[in-house]
Amino acid sequence: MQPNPDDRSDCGAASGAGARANRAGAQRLDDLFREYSGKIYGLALRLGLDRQEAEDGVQEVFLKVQRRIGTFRGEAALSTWLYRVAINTLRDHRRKTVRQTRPVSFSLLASGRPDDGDGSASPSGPDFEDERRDAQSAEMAEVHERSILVRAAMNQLSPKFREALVLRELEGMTYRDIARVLDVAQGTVESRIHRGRVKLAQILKSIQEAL
Amino acid sequence: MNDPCKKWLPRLMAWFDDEASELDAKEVRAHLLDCAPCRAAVQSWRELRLDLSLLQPDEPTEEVLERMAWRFEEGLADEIHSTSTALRWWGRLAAALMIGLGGLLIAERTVMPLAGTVEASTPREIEEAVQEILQRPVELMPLAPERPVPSGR
Repeated sequence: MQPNPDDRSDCGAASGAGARANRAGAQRLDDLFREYSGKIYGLALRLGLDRQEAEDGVQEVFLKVQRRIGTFRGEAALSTWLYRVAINTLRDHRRKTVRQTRPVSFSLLASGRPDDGDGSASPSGPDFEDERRDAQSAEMAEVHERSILVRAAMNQLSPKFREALVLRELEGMTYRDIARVLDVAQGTVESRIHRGRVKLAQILKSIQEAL
Repeated sequence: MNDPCKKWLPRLMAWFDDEASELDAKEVRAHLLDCAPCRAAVQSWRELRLDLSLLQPDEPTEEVLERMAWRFEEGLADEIHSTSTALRWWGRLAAALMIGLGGLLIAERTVMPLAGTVEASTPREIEEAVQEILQRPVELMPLAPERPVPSGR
């Protein structure tokens, strides 16, 4: 094995070890970012942030991870710890930025016109292709309308119910993992999921009745 | 939303969320055959699950991932810069404190402290004691003996 030029003295060895530790820490953070940034971005969107806010949220989460990685003691899986940091950070981020200036608009739903994004009218015509396209377009519009409605209902849920439902229904986590991420008892998770479902159904119903 | 039987609710939920044991799952399925309210509750949960699946976002594009990585590196660089700036200021403050303390130490060693204590309890006694202390001569530490200057150079 070739001697390392940094190891020529005790001091050199110490600084070499420090530099190697720093490089290892940076590499670890880099690996974590590559593996989880997309997942945390998805989590942010599922929790109701828009794309720009989700990108900001991911940056905040990983800067916090960089500051706190030394406090990770290995009692839970690294992913669980990271999700816990993410949920807390995104909750604060959402509280600070979202919904302050963005009221939910139901005008699109009430008008029955899909928000297709490009403003173009649906094609119409006598031939089969046009009919098929119309049917597809109508179905997509219906799905889109429903997703707006569900998003609006989720936004009206309190964070504790929304987070429990998102982690269970959209992240597919077990009750035990959700309890670890939210730092509450498993019974509390079960109760929040159940009450969240009941409340979400009630909100959906009231929005539909208001339209 | 329909209410399921209260005593079956935890087991029903566990079964619905794939958390029930094999045995529990079997019992729940048997109960569902006989219980219309529980069947209706499960049906409403299924509809809600379908609704929530509409919120499942697409995977982030390469462009989004790259932009986030770039922004994270920028954020890290800013953080390191602000930390080192803060450290520099703390270093300067510590140096100033050290100089100040050193100065105090030298002053304390140069000027002899006022010797002795006085006892005074009434305002008049205190006044007299203060006057007495102020009239004491200030004693300076003897300076180091001067070295003779070599001559003849």
